[in-house]
Amino acid sequence: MMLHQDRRKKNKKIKTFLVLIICLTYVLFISPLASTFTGYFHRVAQPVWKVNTKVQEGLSPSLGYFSSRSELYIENQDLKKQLGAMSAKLADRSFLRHENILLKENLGRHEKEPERIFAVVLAKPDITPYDTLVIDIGKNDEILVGDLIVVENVILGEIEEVYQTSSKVRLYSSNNQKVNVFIGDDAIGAEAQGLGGGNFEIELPRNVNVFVGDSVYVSDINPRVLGVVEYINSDPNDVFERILFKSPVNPFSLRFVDVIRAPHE
Amino acid sequence: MNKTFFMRAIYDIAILISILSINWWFTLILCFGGIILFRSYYECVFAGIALDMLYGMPQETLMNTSLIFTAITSVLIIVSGGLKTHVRYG
Repeated sequence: MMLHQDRRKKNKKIKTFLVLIICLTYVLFISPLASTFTGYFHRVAQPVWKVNTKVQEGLSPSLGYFSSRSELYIENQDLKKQLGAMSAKLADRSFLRHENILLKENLGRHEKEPERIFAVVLAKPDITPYDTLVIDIGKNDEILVGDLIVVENVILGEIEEVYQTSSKVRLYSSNNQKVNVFIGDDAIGAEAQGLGGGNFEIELPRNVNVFVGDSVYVSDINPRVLGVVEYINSDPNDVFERILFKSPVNPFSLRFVDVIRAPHE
Repeated sequence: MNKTFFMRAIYDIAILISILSINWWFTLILCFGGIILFRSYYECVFAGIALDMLYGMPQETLMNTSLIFTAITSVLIIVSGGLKTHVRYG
C-alpha cells in the first residue's frame, strides 16, 4: 500500500515537472516573447563574458612561461617560414586587387566598399556548442539577420538572431551547414558542407583540377575567402573525392569580427 | 542553513560560472555530477535551458529547434529519478 502511494507521489511529481518544463519551453523558446527573454539573458551574461575574455587575455602570457625553450624555438622557426611564404603570396595581391577593381569598373560593375561594423566576440566555440558566436552588437547598431561576419576578406558566417545589445552568429562551418562556393583557379562550383570547428568538406568527381593549398571562395561579385584546401581524399574505387578544407581564421581564437551588410540589401 | 543546502548552492554557482565561461560539455558533466550527488537536482534543467537560450541555434536535425540541452537534462533527471529508487549505495 505504502509502495503504491510512493509510486503515485513520484508519478505526480514527474508529471508536474514535465508540465512545468513544457510551459517554460513554450514561454522561453516559442512564444513571441522568447527573443526578449534571450535578449535579457544576454544582457545579464555580457559582463561575465567580458571579464572572462579579460581573464583569458591576462592568463595566456603567464601560461606561455611554462612552455619549454626548445618548443618555442621550433614554433618560432615554423612561424617564420609561414610568414615568408605568406609574404610571397601577398606580394602581388594589392596590384591584382587594383587591377580587378579597374576591370569591373570598365565592365560597368562599380564595386562599393560595404559598411563594416566592428564587433567584439563575447562567446565563441570553446564555450558555445554548434559553432556559434555571440557578438556585442545588435539592434542598437542596426544589425539585421543575414548580415555577414568577416575577418579581413575571410567570411565566417552570418547573423542568425539579433537582440538589443547582442547577436548570435551561425558560422558556415556549423555541422551540416551548406554554402555554395568556387574552388581554385578554375573556379569549380560546388557545395561545401560544414563539419564544425572551422572545417568543411566538398565532394567532387575525381580528377578535377583541385590541389592542396587552393583557395575556396563564396560566390559573389566581391568573392570572399571561406577556406584553403588542406587534404584531398581520393579513393580509386570511388567516383567521387572528398576535399577537406579549413578556414584560415581559427574560430576558437577569435576576438574581434566585422559585420557587413548582406549583399541582397 | 544545513550543510547540504550550502553545498548545493555552491554547486549551483559553479554550474552558472561554467555556463558562461567554460566549455559547454563541462557544464553537462557538472549537471550529471549534481544529479548523482544531490536529491531531485532540478537546477540542471535550468542549466540546460540557459545553455539553449544563450547559445542555441535552430538545428535541422532537431526539427528546427534549439532545445537539445533542455531535452538532455530533462531526460537525465527523469531517468535518474527512476534509477535512484531502484539503486542504493552500499
